[in-house]
Amino acid sequence: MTLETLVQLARSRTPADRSRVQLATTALAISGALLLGALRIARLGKAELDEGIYSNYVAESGLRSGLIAILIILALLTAGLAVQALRLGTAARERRMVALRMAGASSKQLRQLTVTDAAIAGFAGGLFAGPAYLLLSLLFGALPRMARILPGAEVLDVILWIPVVIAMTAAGAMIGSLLHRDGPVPAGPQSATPRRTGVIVGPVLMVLGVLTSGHLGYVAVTVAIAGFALFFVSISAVWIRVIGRRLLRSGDPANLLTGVRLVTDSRPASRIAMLLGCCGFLVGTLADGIAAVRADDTLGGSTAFYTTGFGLTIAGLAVVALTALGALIVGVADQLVDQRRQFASLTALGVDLPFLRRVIRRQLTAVAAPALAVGLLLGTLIGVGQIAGGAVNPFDLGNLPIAAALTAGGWLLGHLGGAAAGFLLRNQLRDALDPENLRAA
Amino acid sequence: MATAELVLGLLSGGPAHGYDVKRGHDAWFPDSRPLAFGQVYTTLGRLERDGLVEVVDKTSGGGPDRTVYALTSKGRDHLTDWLNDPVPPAWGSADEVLRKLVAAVRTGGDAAGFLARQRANHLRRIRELRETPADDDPTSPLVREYIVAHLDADLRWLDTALDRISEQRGTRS
Amino acid sequence: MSGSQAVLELDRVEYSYRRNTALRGVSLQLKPGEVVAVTGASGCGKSTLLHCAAGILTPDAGTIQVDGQDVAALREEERARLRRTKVGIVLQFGQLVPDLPLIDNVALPLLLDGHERGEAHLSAMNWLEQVGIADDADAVPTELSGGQTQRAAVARALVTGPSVVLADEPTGSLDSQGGQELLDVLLQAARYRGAALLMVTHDNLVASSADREIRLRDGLIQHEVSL
Repeated sequence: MTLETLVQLARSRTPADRSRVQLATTALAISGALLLGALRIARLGKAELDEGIYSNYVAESGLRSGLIAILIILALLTAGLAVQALRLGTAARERRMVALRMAGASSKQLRQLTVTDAAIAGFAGGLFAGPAYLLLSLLFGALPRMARILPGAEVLDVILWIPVVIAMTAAGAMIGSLLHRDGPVPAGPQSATPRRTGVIVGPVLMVLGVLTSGHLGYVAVTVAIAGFALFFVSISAVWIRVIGRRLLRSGDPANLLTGVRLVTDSRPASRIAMLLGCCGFLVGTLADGIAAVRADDTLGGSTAFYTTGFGLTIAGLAVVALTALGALIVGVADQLVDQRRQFASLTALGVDLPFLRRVIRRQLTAVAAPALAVGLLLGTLIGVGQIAGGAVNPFDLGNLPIAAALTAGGWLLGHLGGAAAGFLLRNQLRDALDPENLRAA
Repeated sequence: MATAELVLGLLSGGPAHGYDVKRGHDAWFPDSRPLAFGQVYTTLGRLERDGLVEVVDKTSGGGPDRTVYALTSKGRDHLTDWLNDPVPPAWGSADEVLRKLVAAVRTGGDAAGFLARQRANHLRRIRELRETPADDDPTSPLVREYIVAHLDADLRWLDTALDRISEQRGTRS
Repeated sequence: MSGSQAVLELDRVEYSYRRNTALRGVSLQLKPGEVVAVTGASGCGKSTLLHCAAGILTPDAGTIQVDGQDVAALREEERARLRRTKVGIVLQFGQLVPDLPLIDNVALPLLLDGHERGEAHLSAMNWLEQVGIADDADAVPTELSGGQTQRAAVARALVTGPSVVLADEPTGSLDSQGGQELLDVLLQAARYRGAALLMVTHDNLVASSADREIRLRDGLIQHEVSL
């Protein structure tokens, strides 16, 4: 296979695939921009800087490393969205792979194609990362001094851009390589083993993180959060199936259909549940922190310092949560395209648009609302503060109303997301119900 | 008409007289016209003349004439040859195919082999028809399509017959 | 055994799916230029036989040789190469890459084999002409009728100059008129190229164009007759 052929075949030309790659490219561009920000701040060196120009977060050398760590974590989270985006359209891509295999492609060539596809998205993301950083730094530059956490770009930063482009291309290739599956995925029931492993390993990691937090600081927190994520993804898969089964027994046809859709493929839903749960957890933690700072009089006049930091991070996480919801919606849209024949045959049975919208809304809220609510609840109650041995006393009763409010808010947001999805997807739903689809193979 | 060969087939189980032959035939083809007595006796007479059957017993007096016929070895060979021979696929040939199949099954012949050869014959005929273009007049293509469609229908029946025969063989063994 | 001159040789091939046995020891040989029809009721194992011959499925027992090469002895990479250079495949439908124009779809085996695009397109164009759809070279499969995409599939099966073409119900998705036309295109193309053709079919019209009929039943050859 020549390079030209490789690039040509790697890039699928269906509209669905194009939007999938665009989404991944965007996510990787933002990820790259955040990485660029981390590098830009790292370039400032170890010296204390003028607090009249820079935000305290940047100016104080002790805080700089923390800011860099946060930017890298956010970069990883957005890269996670790229993973989700590249996963979309599995059925269609598998059909394409089978067709290529029929034309004589070896499994090595198929892997090359998947990796190249993702690497191109990564490369494009890396290229867009530069302008994206420029835009973000200008945007942050316009904010009050404390919020100016991204220093303006300089000509010298072009040199930083090159490794970011390389890193993003590599990240894309790695995602592609991880996602590549050789041959058709067995249609049999999903194995319960990885889920069980997650349910056991997750809490173990969480406990490990908490125990070692005194010595390992950030590393321990990361371990604990990873454990939380693992536990959440495993438990949510179990729990989504439980909900699905319960809905299956329902007499209401809309619930029945929702149940079928959840039970047949719970994987994408549980992944999104994990992402939303983790976002909720972190937002809860931060809300907890803000409450603590507000309650603590010893911190004196520098509350602006804390609240700005928390506010910015909450905003960042909210963006991530919204994007995760977006990814969930895109995933559902993708399912709709994939199963349009089945939906079209529902039309023949008298299923109309409002009914299907109800099904989709239930499918989304059944996943998003509890995930957000549980994440927020646990985040506010436990929080990273306790794990890292921070300033907050464990089980502060004053936090309970906040926890309750946030949980309710998360629940509400999940429902709003479902309703919004039903609205945003109305055209796709109408297309999916079009009896014309019965003709298409 | 293959009444002669059918009579040979009916006699292959052992000697029988004319009335048994007629009854046997009618039992093999319950949905067809019964064989006339006259036809049975003229056929038997012709077969005897050709040396394919012989008279093995003759009782008379006290009732109707009871002449018992049996297959000669020549007659048995003739029957085997006939059963092995596929029918030239032509319009109206299915009767003959059916006749041979029933006779082959009833006499313990190689029914599956016959069906396979018959399939081949039919397939070959379809190919011949497809390879030579029909005459350029208004009706020739119609006739051609009619024949091909009927051959195709025969083939489908041959298909199911093959499966049924194999199943029967499977359950018996 | 005349194994040395057979382009495709299956020797006592067995294959089982998880629950049921599809092939219980099937042997067959295809000589160069020969056309063989494999028939039998649904579930008799005929498609499995074809997929084994194509190297898509690996038999549990028995050997398969293409052009004298034992397929099982090859590494995956070499097997894929064999599949795209020595074996052409035409399925009932759906073997074309949905988003690629016909010209690229037909050129695909050559492109995967490392040929330059221009050169591959030239061969592909010739074959598109041969099967009568050169006008649709730039269209993608979703814009075309079943008959046209099947013609493209025939062109693709032959573009690398294979010694064997395997066809699984090639006319299965077409009406009788379209099926006959495609069958003619397939036979003509195989004959033109001198390739042996193994067709799995339940269509008597397709079977009638073969030199030999092999009928399967319950994973075994029930009979084999020359036509």
